[in-house]
Amino acid sequence: MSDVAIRVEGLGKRYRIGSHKKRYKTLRESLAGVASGSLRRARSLLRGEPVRTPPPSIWALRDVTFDVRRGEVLGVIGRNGAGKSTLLKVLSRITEPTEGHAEIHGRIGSLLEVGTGFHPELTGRENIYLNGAILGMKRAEIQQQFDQIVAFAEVEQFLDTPVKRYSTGMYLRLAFGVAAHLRTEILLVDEVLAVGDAAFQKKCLGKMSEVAETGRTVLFVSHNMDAVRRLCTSVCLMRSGQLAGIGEPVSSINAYFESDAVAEYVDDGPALPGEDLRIRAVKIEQQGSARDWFEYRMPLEIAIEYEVFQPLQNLLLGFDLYTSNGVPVFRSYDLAARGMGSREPGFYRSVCRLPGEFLQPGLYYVQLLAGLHRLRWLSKEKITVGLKLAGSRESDVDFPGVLCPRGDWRVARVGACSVSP
Amino acid sequence: MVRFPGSLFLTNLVERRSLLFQLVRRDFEQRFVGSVVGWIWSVIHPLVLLLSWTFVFSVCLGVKLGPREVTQNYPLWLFAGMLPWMLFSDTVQRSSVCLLDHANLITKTIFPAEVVPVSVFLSSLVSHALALGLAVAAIALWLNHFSAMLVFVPLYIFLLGLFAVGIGWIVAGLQVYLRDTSQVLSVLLVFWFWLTPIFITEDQFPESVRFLISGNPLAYIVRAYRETLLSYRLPSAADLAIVSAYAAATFFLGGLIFRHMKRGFADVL
Repeated sequence: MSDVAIRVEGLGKRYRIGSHKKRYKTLRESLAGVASGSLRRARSLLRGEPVRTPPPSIWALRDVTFDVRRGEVLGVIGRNGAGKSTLLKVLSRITEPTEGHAEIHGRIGSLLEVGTGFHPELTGRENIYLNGAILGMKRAEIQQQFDQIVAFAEVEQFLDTPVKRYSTGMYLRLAFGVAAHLRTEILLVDEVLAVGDAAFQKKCLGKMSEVAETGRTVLFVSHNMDAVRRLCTSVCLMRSGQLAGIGEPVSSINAYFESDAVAEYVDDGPALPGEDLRIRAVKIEQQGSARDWFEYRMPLEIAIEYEVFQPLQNLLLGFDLYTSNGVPVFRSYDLAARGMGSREPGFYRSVCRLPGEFLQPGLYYVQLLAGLHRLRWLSKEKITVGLKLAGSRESDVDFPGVLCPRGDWRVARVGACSVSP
Repeated sequence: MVRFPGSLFLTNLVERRSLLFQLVRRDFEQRFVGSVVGWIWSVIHPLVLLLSWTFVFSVCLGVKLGPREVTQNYPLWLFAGMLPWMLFSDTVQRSSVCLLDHANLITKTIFPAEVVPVSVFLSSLVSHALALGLAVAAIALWLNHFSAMLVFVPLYIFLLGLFAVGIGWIVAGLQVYLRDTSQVLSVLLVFWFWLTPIFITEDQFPESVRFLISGNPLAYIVRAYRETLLSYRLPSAADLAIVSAYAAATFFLGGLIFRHMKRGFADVL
C-alpha cells in the first residue's frame, strides 16, 4: 500500500446555468423543449448555421491536481464560490466529476453540513443510531462508541428526549460527535466551525486534532485562519475553481490574504428576502481619507456600514484582526458603543478607532464578524479587508513582536552605585 | 476477480443493512408518531375495508363467484387478492417520491440512495404483514379454513418485493429528473389495477383480452395469494417460474437503470 490517501488528477466539475433556471422540468416543459429544440435545430441546419451553441455553464472546479499523504491534515481555504465545497462533494463521491478523476485509498467519511440526517421526532439515542448508519457505521461500531459520543455531546440526561426539544448547542454537539467518532481512514469536514459558539468550536477543534493524531487523513474546509494554521500540516488555496497553490499553512494563508483581501469593501446589492442584516461597506481611513497604506504612528479608523432589516437583539458586530500569517491579534465588537447590541431597522455606521503606535508596520487583515450572541452567525460570507501599515522608527533598534506600544516608561535615578568607581 | 455489472451495487445493499433497518424504522415510526394506538391503525384500516365489503358485496349485492374459484365468500376472496396489490402499489407509489424526501441526505452525505426504495418496501411490508395476519384470522374464523400452503406466502412476498423494488427504482430515479413521473404513475396504476383480476374473476375476462392476465405478473401473484390463503392446492410450478422470471428481470433491470441515473442525483436534487 502506498502512503497516498487521496490522489486527485485534473479534476473538473461543470454546472450548467442560465438555460436551466428551474433545474428540473415538468413533462409539459420537456415535451415543449424537445419540440422547439428540434425545430430550431432543423431551421439552423437549413440556413447552414452551426447547430446551437452549448448552454452557458460554469466550471465550479477545474484542473485540480494534488496528492494527500496518509495522516496528513489538509486545510482547504478560499473565498466563497472558490470550489471548496464542490471539491469535498466530488471527493466524497456525492457528485460525479465532469472530467479527471480522484483515487481514494481507504474508507471515507464526510461531514458537509452539521445535522443532516437528524430526525426531529426521534430521540437523541435513536438519532445517534440513525445518523451513524447514514454515515456508514455498523451497529456494533456505534454501540462501541456510544458512550463517547454521548459524553462528547453532553446530552446524558436528554438521551430519550426527541431532538426537536434540544437546544441548538446540544443539537450541534450531538451531530458533530457522531461524525467525529466515525472510524474512517479519511475524514472530510466542511466549514462546521461557522456555526456554534466559541466553546463548541474549541471542542470541535480539539476533537479534530485528536482524530489527526491517530494517523487518519483529514481534509478540512474553513474560514477560520487560526484553526487552519494550528491544525493543518498543509493547506491548499482555491481560487475560482482552480488550485491556486498548495503548501505550508503559513504561506498559503499569506497568499489567501494577499489575493482575496480588498482595500475597501462596498456592497449595494438588493436585500434578500428574509435577510436580517447586510454589511454595506468596510473602509479603513486615516485623517478622514482612505489610502493604499497607513502611517503606523497615526491613529486610524475602521468603519463598518451596515443595514438592519429586522429588529435585532444581542447583535455582535465587529472584526478579527489577523497578521498576514493568520495569527489572530485581537477581536473587537461594537458592543460598548451602543448598548447591548439591540438594533432597530435602519442604516448604521460603526467606527472603531485604533490608536497610533499600536500595531507594528506590516500587513494585517480585518475579517468581519456579525452574529447574534449565542444564536448564530448572520453573514456566512467572510469579508476580508487588507490593512497595510508602514513607516519607520526614528532609531535602528530592533523591536520584534506584533504590537509596538511605546509603554509609559519613567526613568529616575534612585540611588548610588554599590561599587565605587 | 470476475465481476458482473451491478455486483458492487448489490454488495452495497447488503453492507448497508443497518442503515436499511434504521430507515425502515424511521419511516414506520414517522407514520404513527404521536398517535395513541400507533401501529394498531394498520390493522384497523384493512378491518374496516373488509367489513364494508362484506356489507356491500355479500349483504346488499349478494355477489356470487363462479364454481371454479377457491371460495364462495366474495369479500374474503377480494381481500386475499387485494393484499398483494396494496403492497405493490403502496411500495411503487411511495418509492416515486422517496428520493425527494431524502434530498438532504443525498446532496449532503455519502448516502446510498438505492436503499431508500428497498426501505419503502420493507416498511410497507410491516403493514402488509398485519393485514395478512388479519386475513388469515378472518378466513380461519369465517370459513374454518387453515391451510399449510401458507408457507408459500413468504416466497411470493419475496418475489413481489423484487418486482416492486425494481419498478420502485425506475420511478424513483425518473422522478428526480421528471417531476411528472409520480402523476403518470398513479394514472397507470389505476389502469393496471382494473386490468388485474382483483374485483372480477379471471373467467369474467373476455377470451380476446386474456393476454392481459397472462402477461401481467401481478395477476399470477394475486392468483397465488388466493390459492395459498383459501385452498389446499399446491401452487402451480409453471406460474411460479413465470413470476420468478419477471421478478428477477425487473429487479436487475431496475437496479441497472437506477445505478445509471444515480450519477446525476446530487446535481439535480
